[in-house]
Amino acid sequence: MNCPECQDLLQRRLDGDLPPARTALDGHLAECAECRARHIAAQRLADGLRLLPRPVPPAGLAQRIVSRALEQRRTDRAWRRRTWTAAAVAAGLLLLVLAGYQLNRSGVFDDPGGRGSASREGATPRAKKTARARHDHAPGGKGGPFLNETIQEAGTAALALTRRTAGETVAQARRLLPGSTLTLPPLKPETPLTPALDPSAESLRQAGQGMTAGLRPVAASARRAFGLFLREIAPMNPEPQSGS
Amino acid sequence: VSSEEAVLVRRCLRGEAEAVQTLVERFQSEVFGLCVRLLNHRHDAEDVTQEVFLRVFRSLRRWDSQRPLKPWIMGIAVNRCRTWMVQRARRPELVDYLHDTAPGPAADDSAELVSEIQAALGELRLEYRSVFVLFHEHGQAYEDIAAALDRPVGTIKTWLHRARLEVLDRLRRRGMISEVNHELP
Repeated sequence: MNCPECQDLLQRRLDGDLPPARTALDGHLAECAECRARHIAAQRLADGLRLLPRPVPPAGLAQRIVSRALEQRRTDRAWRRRTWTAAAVAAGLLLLVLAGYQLNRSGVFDDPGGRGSASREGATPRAKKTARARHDHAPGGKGGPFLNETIQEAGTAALALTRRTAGETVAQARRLLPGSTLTLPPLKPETPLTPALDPSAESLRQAGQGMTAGLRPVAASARRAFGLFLREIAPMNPEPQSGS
Repeated sequence: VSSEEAVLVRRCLRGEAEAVQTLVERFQSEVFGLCVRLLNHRHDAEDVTQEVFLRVFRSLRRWDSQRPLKPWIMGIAVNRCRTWMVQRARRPELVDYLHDTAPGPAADDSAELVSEIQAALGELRLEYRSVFVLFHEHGQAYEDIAAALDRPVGTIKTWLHRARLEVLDRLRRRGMISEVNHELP
């Protein structure tokens, strides 16, 4: 056995492996003072490691850690909630801005029918918009047609939905209370909606037009979804009361 | 990996105080003991132990449930100790009056031997010391230490062998050996 082999054996012993060749090791240790000194030191080290006192955590450390960990969890959750809310608001605002910008670029705000002076050839888009705004704003002009048309449309749809829902409710009530004489007061079918927007400032009108153009598809989708929802609702069939 | 550990972790992630308490109590001795050895300062070890567990709970979602929990926690402890030592090196040295790892009086030289071993460990570079303590005091296998320190097993073996030789050389220089016996347990 040589010195490197002896060193390897020393490491294996400290690893906890038992050496297979005891005689060869003893022979080498008897001859090599350096290796012998190391092996003796290794034995002392093994003895000392067994004597090393294990540090004991101070009393109450675990409780302090638990309290801080739970507090940290609460703080993290609150912070995450605030972050998500802020991100959602920011994303919504960004979408609105992008939608407005896109609509503005695609010319939705421009007069499609070429009304008034806006239709003159050679007029810039900005001039067209300004001219049309003046036309709409003028007495006798159409007065914010886009938004008012949309409101009118929404009002008509709401009226139809209300009438239908009320009719169904009355029908259910009649089934529940057979003896009652519930009648639905007649609704004026063609109740005109007064113009909700009286444009007083050009900037406000333009903003309204932008919002209208942006919300029109959303409103249409919402109407369709609501209609589907009403169709999907199972009609309420009350259990017939026994004995009545 | 025991499914019990995975269940405990899931409960901790749900914020159950009882599970958090269980996890802390299960590993606090190991973490605190490692921190005391690596930092050689009991008060610092207490602070770092708290930091370690806060980091553990914050990172619990990243724990690989296919691997045991203890090496993962010990790895975090070694990293926190390393960071703490870097920060401490920038501050004035504090005397640790609370250091209590010195053993009580003994008839033989065992107290001196323990003291020399602790001093020798204090002289080792952090990687060697971490491996030495994890292997000899915490009974961690090479593979677990490698996982904890994110190093190959071969590197861990090399570090441990060098650490032992440095400790042995110090014991020899300090006259802690006698020629009477060279039997290893």
